[in-house]
Amino acid sequence: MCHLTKACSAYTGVWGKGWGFRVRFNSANDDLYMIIPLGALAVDNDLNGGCDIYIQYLDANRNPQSDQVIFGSLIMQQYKAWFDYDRVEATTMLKMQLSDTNTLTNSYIGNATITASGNPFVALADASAVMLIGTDAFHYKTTIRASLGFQGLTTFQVSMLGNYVYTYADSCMIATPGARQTSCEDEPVNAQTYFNSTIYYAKDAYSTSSYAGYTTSGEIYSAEFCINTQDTPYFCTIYNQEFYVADKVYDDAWNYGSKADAGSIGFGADSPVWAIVSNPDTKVFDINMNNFNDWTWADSSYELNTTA
Amino acid sequence: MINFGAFDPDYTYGPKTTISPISGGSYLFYLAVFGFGKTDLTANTEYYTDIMNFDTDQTKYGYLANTT
Repeated sequence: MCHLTKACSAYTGVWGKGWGFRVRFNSANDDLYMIIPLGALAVDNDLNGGCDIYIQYLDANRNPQSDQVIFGSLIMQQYKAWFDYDRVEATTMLKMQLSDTNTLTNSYIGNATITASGNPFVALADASAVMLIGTDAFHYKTTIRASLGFQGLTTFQVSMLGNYVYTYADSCMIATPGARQTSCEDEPVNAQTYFNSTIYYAKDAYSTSSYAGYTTSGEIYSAEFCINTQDTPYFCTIYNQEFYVADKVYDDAWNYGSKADAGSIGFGADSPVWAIVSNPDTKVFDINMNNFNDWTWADSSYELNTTA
Repeated sequence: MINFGAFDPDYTYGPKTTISPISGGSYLFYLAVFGFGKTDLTANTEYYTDIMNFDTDQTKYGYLANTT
């Protein structure tokens, strides 16, 4: 399900602007099709003041109808449906039409041919965005805000050379031999166990793997991946990306006792991050290291120079 | 008004009060088009991107669903 932070009425640029689903059934007569506006699925959430859009992921492991499209009452309430029984032909027909009283703007049943328009979805190829990078001056770590599977923004550590995105499952355990197994939120991992894996279908498992200072095992998932940027609240992949969810941590070699955040995001050449901008052949990004200009691995004879 | 036709042989024997698929586990209706996009009523234009899963592998969704 999609969640918007404000009440549905706050998003005036979405409802009634033509966004919706176009549906045609094989058995429908005269090539008739239906348009179901996105607003039909939007419901105010009285508990948190937000707006929920009832589009639900179907998990093939949990729902036998996951290969189907299931329309619920939010859609069907816009229509009236009935059966016509023809006693002469001995056939029963299912018929449906727009409701007289409960139909939203842009709802449609018909077979009108409309001119194709340009792609209204924002194309991200060759786009640029400024990511907001946090710094931990004590541990000299950089972090960015990102989300996996639209489970909400959280903080990930950054690896400029790494190729993975990995995070910690909410069931993550410290599995050091001889040690009492505890949550990865406890020391020495200090991870934010962020990812709720129960609502996703795991594609595969991965065995003991060392990455970003941690040795972990867990499962591989596939979902949208988003980064928080300066100008765009969500800068997301347009299709699912694989990422690793650790549910066991065997070693915390580099970062023992320090904060692990929700996981690590690598910006290497094969990182899913690049799918956000359509995987260009050449990966280009600028790095601002201002926050670390007070320490260096340079030789003691190093002199700071600034060139234009 | 859409007429979906007679989709269940059982319905040919008289009025029914319940809906039944053609057979157990089958689709109730087969979809020909299922897209998400935008209709601009002012300009009388539309754009819909296909989100239908034609793939027989039920573990593939969205973009991956149409790649084989």
